[in-house]
Amino acid sequence: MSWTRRGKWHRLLLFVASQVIILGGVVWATTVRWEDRQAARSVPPLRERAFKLTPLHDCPWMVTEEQLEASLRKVYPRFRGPEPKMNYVDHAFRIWGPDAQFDDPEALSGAEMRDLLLNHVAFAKVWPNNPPFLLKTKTGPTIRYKEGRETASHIDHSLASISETGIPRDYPVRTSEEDTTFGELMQTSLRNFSLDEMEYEWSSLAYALFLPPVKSWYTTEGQELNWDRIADRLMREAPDQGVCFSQHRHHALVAVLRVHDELGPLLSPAGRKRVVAYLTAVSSLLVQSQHERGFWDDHWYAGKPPATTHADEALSGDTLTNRLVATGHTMEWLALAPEEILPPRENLTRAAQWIVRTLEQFDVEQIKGQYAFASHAADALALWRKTTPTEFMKSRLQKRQETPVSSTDNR
Amino acid sequence: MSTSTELPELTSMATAPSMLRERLSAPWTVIPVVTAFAAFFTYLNYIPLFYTDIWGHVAYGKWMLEHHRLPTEDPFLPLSAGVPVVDTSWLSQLFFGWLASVGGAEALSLVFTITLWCSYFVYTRAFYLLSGRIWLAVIGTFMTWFLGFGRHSIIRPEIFGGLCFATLIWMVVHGEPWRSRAAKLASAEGDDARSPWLLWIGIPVLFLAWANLHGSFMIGLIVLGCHAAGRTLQVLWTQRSLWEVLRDRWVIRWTLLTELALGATLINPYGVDLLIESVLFGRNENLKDILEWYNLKLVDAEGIQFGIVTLLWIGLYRFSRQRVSPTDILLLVVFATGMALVVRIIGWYAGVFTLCMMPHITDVGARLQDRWVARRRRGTESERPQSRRFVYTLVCVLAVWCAFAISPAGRQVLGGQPRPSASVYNERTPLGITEFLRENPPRGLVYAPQWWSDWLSWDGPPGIRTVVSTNIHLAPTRVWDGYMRVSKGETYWDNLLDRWAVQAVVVDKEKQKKLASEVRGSAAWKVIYEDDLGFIATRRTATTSG
Repeated sequence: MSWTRRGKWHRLLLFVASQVIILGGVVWATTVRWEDRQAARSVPPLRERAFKLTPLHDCPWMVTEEQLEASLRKVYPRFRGPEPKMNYVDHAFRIWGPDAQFDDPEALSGAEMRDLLLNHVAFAKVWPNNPPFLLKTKTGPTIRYKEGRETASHIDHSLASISETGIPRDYPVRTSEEDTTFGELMQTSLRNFSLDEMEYEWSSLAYALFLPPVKSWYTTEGQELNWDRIADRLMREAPDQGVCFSQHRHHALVAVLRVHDELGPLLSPAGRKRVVAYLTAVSSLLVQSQHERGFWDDHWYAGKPPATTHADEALSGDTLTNRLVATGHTMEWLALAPEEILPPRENLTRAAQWIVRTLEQFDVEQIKGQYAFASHAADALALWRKTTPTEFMKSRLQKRQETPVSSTDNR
Repeated sequence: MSTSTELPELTSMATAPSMLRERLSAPWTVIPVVTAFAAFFTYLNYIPLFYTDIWGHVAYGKWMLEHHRLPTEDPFLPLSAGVPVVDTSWLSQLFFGWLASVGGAEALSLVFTITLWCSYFVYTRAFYLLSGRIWLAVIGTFMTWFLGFGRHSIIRPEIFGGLCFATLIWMVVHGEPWRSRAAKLASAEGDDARSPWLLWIGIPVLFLAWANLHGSFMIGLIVLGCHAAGRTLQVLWTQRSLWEVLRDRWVIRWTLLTELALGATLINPYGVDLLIESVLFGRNENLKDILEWYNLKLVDAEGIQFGIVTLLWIGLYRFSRQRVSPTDILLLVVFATGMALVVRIIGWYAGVFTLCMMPHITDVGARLQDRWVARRRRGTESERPQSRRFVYTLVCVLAVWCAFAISPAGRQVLGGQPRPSASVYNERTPLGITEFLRENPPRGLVYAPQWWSDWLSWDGPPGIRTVVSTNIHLAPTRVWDGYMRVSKGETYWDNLLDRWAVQAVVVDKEKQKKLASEVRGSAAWKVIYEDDLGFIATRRTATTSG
């Protein structure tokens, strides 16, 4: 009897023990696998500091120092005062960077522009009655866009612009609700990114500059991304598709290529070949489509120069704006592109001189109307002299201070 | 001497055929059942192949056969590149792919017929075990068919899941002695009326196959889990002792069987990921746009079916003298809730509902039958035994033969003309569109309705790629949202096509009327082919991406 009872106890204990082992094992295995999956789907780590694309080509014959100075002076960030258009601040900061100082009291310094973009307190002083530029959302801190003059013009535009200046990951950011870092803004963007985004050019650019050469990562939609896939996305649409006549796509592609070549492999060998082939094809179209005066327009991909009409003489209006957009942006990304992609220098020189002439004819007020496009054009000129606007103007101002000056010099 | 020895031989020779005839004799009641099942076979075999996901499964199978590996992402959807695939139906797809390559569409149709027919046959067997009367078993099977009607006519890996589910129901009935009407009649309502070896061997084997054939194996695990939990509740309720619960043999059995089944499902190419994926699958946001993933609405066909069987449920509980087991209540509540949330659960609810109702149908039905028989016999002197005749068996054989002979499969076997394509494929299969595309292959990505995309991948030109397919869960959310906007012809539909660099659009004229009119009215697109079902449009100015 006692043996039987002991046997039942044993069976019972065995059952309970087996349940603990089986259920524990199932829970453990599932948890471990789940955590692995979640870890694989976490946002990738960031570099300590964004990679700064340096200019590669010095072509003094394209633009003289005097022409360059005159052009750059046109795009001083003269936004002091209430309610500056944040898109312009964004554009100004990307070309001038945080160290810029100007000999014009109307112009914001680089540090002031950075403050407007990354410190809500500074922003609220100039935009006191509007919703904040920097927001806290469910997915993390982010930048408001496409909601008016006090917001960025495109998704992740500000993120890319600020990254282009080589900002550190831990740079402090103050939103309307919390103190955070620039790295957190990047991570929010990574969490929200979709490969099928309508605008993806600036996100791609920011990621290229900020992500170490990670093999791949997952979007929150569950899609695995790698740089081949992003590059293919940048090359997918027809040439007439994309913001600023698709030149931002080319700019982002050049950034990917440069980071790949200089910091380590992002693309597969086949992926790199595809990118180079694509940009070379673009370059070839640019040569075929360039107007004899040096500009490109919204039909830069047509394979034949734009027809000359009466409107060619116009100094304002959509025609000129289109030319400034196409030529300025194109010359800017070409200045950063490796030699193998570039069109002949002759074409580039004609384009640079068209920019010089065009900016020359704009007065400050006209520039204010299309600052964003003009800033790309002026930046391009500096890059083709293998310098940056701030570096160049700093040296020019220093030279001027060293030489005897008249009493009317700026103070 | 010889005479004396010949006589018995002659006798035995004379009696052998008559003994055989006697053994092969059947009662007349078998005739309608056999005829019904034979007719059901013919009916199933005549169901045309549907135009939706089956072709995606076949294409996946073909891809696997060609590449000798499982796909890690969808091979036919470039916009879904990088979305990992946990192919919950890989074995079914492999089978479909092989089948299509050796036997074409008719082979697929035959496998569909046999699988579904077997499923209902297994249900009938299970319900017969429950009721002890063939006519009640047939009623139960009909009820299952009626409730799951909306889900039975499409060939897809789910049909193998359905067969596995029916087999599980049969195993449960066979294994649990108190469910069996036969056991009840034998007063063997005890714990060990029969050895449950069938369960110990059958269930792991069943779940091993099920997990590799279709993701619905989770439904089977729920059934087993409900049995373990239900039995636990029952013992707890009757014995009021946790100790007794732990000692109860059937609590232990069902618990271990559930765990054994769970363990068997882990034997698959994805391991634990298959379980995780199966649990998470229903959470995919894209599914909210698909009819079969909607909530149950009482005004829909499924809602009406649900309403009818619920009334039946109430009626049976009112008149039945059978006890209601906690297991049955758990099963009904869990599956009815599941169906209320996701209407496609109705196919599984059908089997569970009948399983739980069968004891009550049996109770009420048997009483009605007894009363009817008693009324018929009033006035007659003696009970007439049910006659079994060989000729009834022959009638059954004739019915089976006729059904087979007139079925498409039978006609092929017997040398008849094969069916025309229009009969093999559902009438809404875009045969003309794929024929045109084969002759004029599109250069880039094709936008097509998701319900036709799989057919395009299968029957269209080699290498054709579409925006989405019926693998809706694999489309990144924004791609899917964009697809839906285009499908409805909403604003910026053309911008989305530009974004995806789509070069050709296939439009279903009946289901995408707005898109059809937008495409026709667009200066950027021109219609290059049109038939009764739809049309193909391409860009007027070809754009190149790059």
